[in-house]
Amino acid sequence: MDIEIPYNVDEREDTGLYNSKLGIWLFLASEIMLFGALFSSYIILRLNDPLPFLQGQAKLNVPLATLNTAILILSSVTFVMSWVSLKLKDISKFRIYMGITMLCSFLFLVIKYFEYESKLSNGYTPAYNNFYAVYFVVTGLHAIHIIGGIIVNGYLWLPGLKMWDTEPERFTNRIEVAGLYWHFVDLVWIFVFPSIYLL
Amino acid sequence: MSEHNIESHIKVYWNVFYALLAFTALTVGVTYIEFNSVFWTFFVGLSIACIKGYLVAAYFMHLNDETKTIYYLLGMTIFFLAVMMRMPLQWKNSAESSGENYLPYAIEDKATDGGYVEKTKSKNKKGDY
Repeated sequence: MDIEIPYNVDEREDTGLYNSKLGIWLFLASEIMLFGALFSSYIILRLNDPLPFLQGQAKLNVPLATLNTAILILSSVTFVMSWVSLKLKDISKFRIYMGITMLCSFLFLVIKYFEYESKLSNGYTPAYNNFYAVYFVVTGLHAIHIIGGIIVNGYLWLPGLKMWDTEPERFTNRIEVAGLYWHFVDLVWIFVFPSIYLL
Repeated sequence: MSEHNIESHIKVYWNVFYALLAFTALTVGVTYIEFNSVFWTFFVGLSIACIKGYLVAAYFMHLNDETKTIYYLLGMTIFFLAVMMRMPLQWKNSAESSGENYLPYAIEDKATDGGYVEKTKSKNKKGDY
């Protein structure tokens, strides 16, 4: 028996949103609190003892982190362009833009791997001091979010695309919702980058 | 959003992309400036991050054209985030005003190179924590 899920294309009168859009915003609200708690911990630990933070920061690879920032920004604009392509009913452009987003996501993780490898091989583990504890927890959690995004975006890019043939509007909404998550991950990095690497 | 509107938005999206790249370069650039004040260093750095965050949220996440439901939801989130960020600072201030150390291990175990893992381990063995 097929059960039709209501409001996954049409907007509800009371919220003015389709359900998955309200759902993703509620999820992002919880994510704001999660990363907020980590930033709060970072502030309090740094205020208490700034020296390890300044010494640790001096050992971070700023050019690599800057490159990662640019890659993530590029992935955000290509994601929004993939959604635009669907609105314009141009599926081939959707494939290209989403493909670039996926490529950027993997590039980000590869660069992150080299960054982590250089730290860990020199003995700078999360147990080394408060700075490295914060550094690995915040950037590690962010990297886990990138991996989560890759899984969802990869599904929508390849096997999930068949929904376009039967329910194009619903598929477009799925891309919009996945995009909101992806832009949030970019947004978090925008604050992580200066806080951890630069200031 | 109509197709005509979307076409007009494409240029905006790419302009936002270029602006974000420029602000990223600016964020790195200002770290080479000596502000002679921790406050101003953080203020300038985080202000640029806030502008970048606004551009992503307003244009890529379409928050400049959303429903009231989402604005209420985000308003409540920001309120509780502010409370959560304030709490540890309040805790720190009250502990310091009463002469207590609110994070004793972070000070005691500080080594010259910023690491304190050995001392932490030895203290753990004694069951100090």
